[in-house]
Amino acid sequence: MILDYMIELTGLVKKYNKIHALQGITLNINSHKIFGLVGPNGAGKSTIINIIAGLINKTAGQIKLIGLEINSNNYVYKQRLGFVLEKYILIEKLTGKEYLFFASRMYNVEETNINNRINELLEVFELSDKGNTLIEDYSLGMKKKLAFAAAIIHNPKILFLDEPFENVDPISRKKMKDILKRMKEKGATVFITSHALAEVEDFCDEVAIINKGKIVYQSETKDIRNKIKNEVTKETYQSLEEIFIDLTTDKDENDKTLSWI
Amino acid sequence: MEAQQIKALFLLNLKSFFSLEQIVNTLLIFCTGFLWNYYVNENIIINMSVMYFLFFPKLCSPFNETRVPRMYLIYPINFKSVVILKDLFNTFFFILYLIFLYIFNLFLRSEHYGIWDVFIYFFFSVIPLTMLCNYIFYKNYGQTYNVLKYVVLSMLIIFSVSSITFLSVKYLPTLINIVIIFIFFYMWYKNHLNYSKLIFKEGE
Repeated sequence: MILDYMIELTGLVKKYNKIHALQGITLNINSHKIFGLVGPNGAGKSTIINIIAGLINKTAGQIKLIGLEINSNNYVYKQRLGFVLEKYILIEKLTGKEYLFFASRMYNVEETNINNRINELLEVFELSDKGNTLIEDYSLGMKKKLAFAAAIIHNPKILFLDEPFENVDPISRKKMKDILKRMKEKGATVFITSHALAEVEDFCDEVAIINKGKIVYQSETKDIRNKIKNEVTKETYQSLEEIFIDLTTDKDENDKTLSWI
Repeated sequence: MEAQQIKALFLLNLKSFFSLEQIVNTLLIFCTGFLWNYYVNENIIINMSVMYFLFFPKLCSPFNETRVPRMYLIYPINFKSVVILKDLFNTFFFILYLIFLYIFNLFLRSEHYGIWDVFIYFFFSVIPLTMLCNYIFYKNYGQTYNVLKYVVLSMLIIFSVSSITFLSVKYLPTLINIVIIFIFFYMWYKNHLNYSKLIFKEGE
């Protein structure tokens, strides 16, 4: 079966009492893609991932992953997904190695493969000597790397990564990107949220900007510099950051400064 | 639920049960139980139930980490099964705990209540109460968390407190005893409620 899209979000709505966190998000993402979602704080990036992970319920809309519609009663689809969430989901009283054992068993990785995969992951992310240390003693960057390792241990088809590179050292960051690129080449889809706009522009194939719960811009990253900034002069945008600031900043608020500085 | 997942959860709970934090808690409970048994209340059944309620929030989540239950949701596993499995683990570990406590009591007391008194009480009141509370808390996961559940839980607690108070008054009619039971129930109720709220908070 040839799938149109790996991730299909249609009219996704999330309300918290009277607040509209998501206002009809529609996104379609193909396989072999690294998709970046950027937006200001509180724009709704993490809400989308949390809904897909099943941590919170959607108010309305449809989610299809790998061609299957998902709902709160269905959990089997998670076998093919991997998550790195904004709030760490680690069990801090376990050691790094124990946590990876736990995650691999929860994802039903074959018992014979578990040891090898864990050792490889710890080695790649330079955590081998910390494998038997409690997670609560890890630095933020180490925790992020461990969460990433746990998310890919079962070789998922779709990865949802909420700020995956935050607090991670440049060497490990490069390794994470290389792994993600390799997964993409093998047909996986990677969904990333980030505040690092230059990194998203450089690393992702497609990008969307979310603001106040709405998608305000979406294109392939290679097309960013073709987007017209000024209809009169035909001047184009020079970076994702320019578009981001233009589309997410209230013009009046932009002029506000601190009176005492 | 796959065998591997059960293994993972079992090992997690086992590790939680034998963690340093849990061992210290258990020792504290043993000491409190012993002192209370010796000075305040001679009824081992009441001691057992109070200690169970004191112990319950700890058993409820591995390492007493309030965020852990949400973590299960990212895995391909039925959340209801996890809750049932945790109830079974709790029961299993608590039976172990009861056995230790009973042996401990044998050494400390010349007169004691029969083990059947303890187990009958345990099986017919504490387990159903625990299961019912869990059912109330988890059955509507992610749905509207309505006030009715609090009302039902409060009624259950009032009913249980009344029964135990009755027993307590029968054997040792002291105000201190009743107050202690209320404090223990309150602690359990508050811990359990906070724990559940954390799970449901963002699902509302």
